[in-house]
Amino acid sequence: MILVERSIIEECRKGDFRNFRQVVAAAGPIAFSIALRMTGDEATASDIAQETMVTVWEKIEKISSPEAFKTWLCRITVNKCYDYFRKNRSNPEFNPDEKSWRLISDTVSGTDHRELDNTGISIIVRQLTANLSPKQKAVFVLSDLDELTREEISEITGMSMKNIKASLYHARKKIGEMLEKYLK
Amino acid sequence: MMDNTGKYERITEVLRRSEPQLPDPVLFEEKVMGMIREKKTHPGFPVLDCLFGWVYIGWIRNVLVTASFLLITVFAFQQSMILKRIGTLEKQVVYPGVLTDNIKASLDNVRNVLCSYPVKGPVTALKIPEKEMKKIFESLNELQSRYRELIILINENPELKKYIEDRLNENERKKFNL
Repeated sequence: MILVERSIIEECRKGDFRNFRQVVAAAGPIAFSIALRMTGDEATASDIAQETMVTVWEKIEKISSPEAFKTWLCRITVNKCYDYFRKNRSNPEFNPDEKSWRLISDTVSGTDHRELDNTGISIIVRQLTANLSPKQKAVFVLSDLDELTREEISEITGMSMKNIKASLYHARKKIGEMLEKYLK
Repeated sequence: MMDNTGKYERITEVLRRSEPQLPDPVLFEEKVMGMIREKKTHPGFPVLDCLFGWVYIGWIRNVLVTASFLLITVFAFQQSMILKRIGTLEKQVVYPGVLTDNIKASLDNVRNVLCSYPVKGPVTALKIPEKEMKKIFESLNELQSRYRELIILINENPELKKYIEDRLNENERKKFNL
């Protein structure tokens, strides 16, 4: 899937940024989506997406081919999320929030197919992935939410297939434990 | 009641279906373009960002940058001092250290005198190659041996000795009393 027109990326690679707004319009939501699902915070995700777009502007000349743009964009976003987690290592201890788990419980047991808004997604992601390491979060989001292939995840995260498999196993296990602990 | 796998599948399915939406795409675009404009006008220090980008706490980063600048300055100062001293040493006289043993043994005293003799003029003029030094010492040796031979010759011949003594006395007399 080509995210941005090949010609626009080629222009940007050659240093012509007249149409860079189109790149921002197309790539911004993807960066925001990954960031929100990884961090569980709308404002942080927006900041990360903005920083990602600035990095794209700075380094688009280094991209190997326009086809690799999406993978490259995802890699930058994931790395920015890692930076955020590194900066905020001293996170407060996880406190199970009754309201949040009620929302999760309603979502799991509900029969309606309503889509969640950003706040709903943030609450659920924050609660479910509270005990996950940044790498496990990345693999969980890219594999189980964005449904990327193992090869794509490997390219984005730089992890080996074996590590991806292990991280995904642990991520699912930890989320499963949370669900078992807090949901009837 | 659902099992764990079922709950997991259900929650991920809902999350998959619910694609996060940028709150205000236009504002987002403007913010990004503003940040790019800011980067263009204030490019910053890419080398410092590359070296110390991993430090997120402002004051620690500043301390590291200052410390590295100080270390580099001290290092450069020390290097310049060392180079200066090497330069001074290079300009000084280099006495040959590989004279042949027999010459070295016989001319130790002469060399000491030559080495300790105060020299006027630029230091660079004192550079004497080893070959030239050998020649000087050889000619000095020869001069000394001829002088000894001459003394022996004079002592052996009384007439010559008397003649030379007369000549020397005559020369003494010719000198003015100042």
